[in-house]
Amino acid sequence: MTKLSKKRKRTSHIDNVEEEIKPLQSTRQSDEPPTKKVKWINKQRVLVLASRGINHRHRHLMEDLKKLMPHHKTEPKMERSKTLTVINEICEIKNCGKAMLFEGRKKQDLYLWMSQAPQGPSIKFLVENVHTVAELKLNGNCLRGSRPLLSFDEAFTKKPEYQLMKELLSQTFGVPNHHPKSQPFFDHVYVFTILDDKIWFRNFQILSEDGAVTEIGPRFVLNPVKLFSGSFNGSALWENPKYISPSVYRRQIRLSTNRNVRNK
Amino acid sequence: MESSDTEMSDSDIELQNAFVKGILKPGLNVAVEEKKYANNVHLMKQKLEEFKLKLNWIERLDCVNKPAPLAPELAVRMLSEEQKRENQLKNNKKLIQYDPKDDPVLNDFNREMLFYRQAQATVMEAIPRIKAMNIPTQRPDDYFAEMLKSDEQMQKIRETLMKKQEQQKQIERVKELRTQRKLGKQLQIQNKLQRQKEKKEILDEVKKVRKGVRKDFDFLDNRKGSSKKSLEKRNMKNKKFGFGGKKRGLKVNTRDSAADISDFKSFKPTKGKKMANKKKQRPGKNRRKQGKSKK
Repeated sequence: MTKLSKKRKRTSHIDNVEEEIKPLQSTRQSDEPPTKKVKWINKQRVLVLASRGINHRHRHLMEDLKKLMPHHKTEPKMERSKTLTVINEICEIKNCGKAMLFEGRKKQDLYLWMSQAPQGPSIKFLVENVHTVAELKLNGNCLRGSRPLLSFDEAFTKKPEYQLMKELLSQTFGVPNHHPKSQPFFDHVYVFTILDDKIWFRNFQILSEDGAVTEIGPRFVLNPVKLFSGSFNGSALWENPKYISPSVYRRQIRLSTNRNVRNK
Repeated sequence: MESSDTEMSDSDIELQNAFVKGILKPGLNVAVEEKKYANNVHLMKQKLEEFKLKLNWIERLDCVNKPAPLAPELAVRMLSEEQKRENQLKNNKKLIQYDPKDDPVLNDFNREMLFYRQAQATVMEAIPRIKAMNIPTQRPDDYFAEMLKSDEQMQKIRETLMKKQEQQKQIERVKELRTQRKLGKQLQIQNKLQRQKEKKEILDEVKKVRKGVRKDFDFLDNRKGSSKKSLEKRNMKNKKFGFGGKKRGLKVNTRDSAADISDFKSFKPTKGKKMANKKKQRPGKNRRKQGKSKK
């Protein structure tokens, strides 16, 4: 009996798909049989890996991002001796169209590379002000792997470099529709805002649909350094004139304090 | 030759001036080339066209929007925060003094507010758009799935939140107590002064009466008297215990009181009554033994 009924249902379902899309209910019961996810068009995958020499906090940040991105692929830490173009090959092996590389320097500075794998472009950011999800003041929560809404500041539409960054960010952080590991609901927003030439990232939970939100984390600031035409190689498309490398910055501070001491 | 000589001397003077000003440092000086930063707009646009994801919005979910308008309660909070910070700076000169415009704490607050409002704007724009496509947005109550943060973590967060609130409450309570104490002290002092004043006035009046300037005792009636209830109570007590008069020797016997035996009660019971009252008593142990031996 049951078998028969099932068969009947299936055939009718197939007929319906071609002709009309049924209006869905606003809520769904959990005991309903899961519908087959056939509409997975955007098969974007992101390779997330770190180079050797990142610090614990940065590693946690990477883990948090991995949890938020169900479309990621992992790879063990990369040796620093290798050239970065090796990543393109890894991407090809792992079927990834995007790559995110967390590159640590001196166990205190973190650079984030984001790249469109074989043909480019790629961008190098300096990551500042890192707060991970584990922090207790961030009191929101969301489903693991639900699709985020991506919110961009209006400044992203103005300059060509920001347009490029917007596209790259939205493609890497956006979870593909109907991804098998994703959840079908919308319960968080990523906010990208440009303030003093840096990109500020925040992740908010949607409490109610009239606009009440609370922060989930992680938090970080991306300071763009350089845009390349290729993936981890190629000519520079754009360079940030306001970027000062963190070690130079620290040196300046040290020198100025030394001078103060001497002048006393 | 001459012209070149003068040139040399000119540049020398310039260098010397520069050295005096401290621009020039001893040692080898190398001309610094100004760095050129790449900015290839054309190529960037081309690249963007190349790798742009040309799919429907529902596949991409990106929104560009201004921050949402500031909610009135948030505006009020921002203002109060500003006022508070300003007062803090004014009242405590030990703190590092900032211009209120570039106060780091306030800047942090305002910046986070900006992000918050941007998120709000996106939610208000995107959710109706998704709903219009007949896609469920909210997760039903009976839908359980793995969350980003574990239950343990959420428990911890809740605990810290509670602790913070409690601390805040405690601080407020202490503040309130302090203000109460201050007010109480003031009231006490006021009362004391008032009483002293009244007393002085009465004494003055009494003095006047004594000197014969004044003959009536009306000022005594003007005094704020005790309440009716307490007066009644006083009267009752006076009736019961007496009021005024000699107190010494009141309890000592006189001849009459000693002779008065009207309320004397003898506690000796009558004989017959006693016997009737008594049950047949069990004899003591020795007697019982003796009785046994007789038998």
